[in-house]
Amino acid sequence: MHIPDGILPLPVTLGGYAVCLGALWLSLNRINKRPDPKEDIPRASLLTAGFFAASLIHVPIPPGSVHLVLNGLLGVLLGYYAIPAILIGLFFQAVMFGHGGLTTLGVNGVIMGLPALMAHYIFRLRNIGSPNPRRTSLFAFIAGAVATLASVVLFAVILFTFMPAHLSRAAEQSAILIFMAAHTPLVLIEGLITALIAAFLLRVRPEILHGV
Amino acid sequence: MILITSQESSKDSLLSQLDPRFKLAGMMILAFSFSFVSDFRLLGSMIAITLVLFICSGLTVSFILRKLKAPSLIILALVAVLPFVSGESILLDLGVFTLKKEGLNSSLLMATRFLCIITMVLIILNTSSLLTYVRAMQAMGLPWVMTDMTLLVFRYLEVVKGDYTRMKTSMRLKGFTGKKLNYTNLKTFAWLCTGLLVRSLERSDWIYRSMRIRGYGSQELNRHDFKARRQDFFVLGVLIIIAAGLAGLEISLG
Repeated sequence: MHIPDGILPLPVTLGGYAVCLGALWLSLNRINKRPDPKEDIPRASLLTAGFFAASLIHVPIPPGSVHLVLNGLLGVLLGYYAIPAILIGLFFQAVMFGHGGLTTLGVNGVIMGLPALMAHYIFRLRNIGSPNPRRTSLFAFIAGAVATLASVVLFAVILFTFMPAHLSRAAEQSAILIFMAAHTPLVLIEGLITALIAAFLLRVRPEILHGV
Repeated sequence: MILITSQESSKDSLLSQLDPRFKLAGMMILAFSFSFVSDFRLLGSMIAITLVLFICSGLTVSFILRKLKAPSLIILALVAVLPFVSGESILLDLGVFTLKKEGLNSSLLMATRFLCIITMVLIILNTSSLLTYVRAMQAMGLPWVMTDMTLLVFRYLEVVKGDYTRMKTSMRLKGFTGKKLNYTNLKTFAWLCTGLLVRSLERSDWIYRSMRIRGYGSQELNRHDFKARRQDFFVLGVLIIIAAGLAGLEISLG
């Protein structure tokens, strides 16, 4: 779900950078307000590298397979570090593998980053009342599924609305709906995987679930 | 397919000798000006600019073509479908499929912009190492959180990927194929992810301790030894003029 260079017109790519930089500013502001912000850097960085490797896992969805997005889990575990982590991940993917692009880094940051922040807030709701394994899995599922769904919607709307192709409004809407329907299994799988990972982490390293 | 990690061009080439901060600035300005182009008469200029940069880089054609193969596949599907679904003016009626002029134009525009931008980025980034560019971004004022995280992610990416490869091999040796979509396989994928994350987290604890011992957090490490020379300003100036020229022509032609 990365939009490559050259597809979107300049105002959209610049707008993407503006929104993304706003989110980055907010995140860095929150990080810098911590008592010792440097303490969490290695943890956030290594988890980012872990996510980068985990996104290489291919889940079979017949007739093919998809790689995991994991931006919901990233929001759940990294909190405000999710935005810098996603931008760094996108930068490396663009310059190392040619996935996404540098002019579309802002737009792709919005597509992946804002839903990750949304997942962070959703998962925090589990602390209302008494947290237990079932609530943890439930809120992790919702966070993972909603983040992926939001990314799919943002990707489809931005791509099909702003791509310089002569598509009628009906064709645009059909393309968006077909794209979303095709990604429904991914949304459910991301939710399920996020819930399973949260349940495993709760058993082996519960402190990770408190966020970085 | 790795596009860039180390410097691939000859150190004697013009682009290799430039200050990486100026190369980064010029690259982004040029990339955005390319993405602004929508007039077909300017596509040739974009290709010519990319070719001139290629000549100044000292890279080989086979190297560029090899690196472009994987990214080009990403856009291929979009470019192949658009001429048949977008637009109204029919160029060729093939019965089930009709080739349309507007769709063909859009495809050509997007494919050329994509190839020019990615080739230009590929050329410029391969004239210094990725680590040098991260240092250059730090010198250009990238926030310390971003710089420290980028350097650490870059340093440990291969290590974590090595963990992933070993874990996958060990799963395969135990008979896991993961070719079917079912709950058991999803659970195994989740274990794999959890294992990677827990290993990363445990590694981060001792990395932080060793970084602390070496003084991390007690001093500012924003020193750099980049020095801008006259030729850096000249090349950046030329790139800005080219970008402004493209934008100006696009506005006047559009």
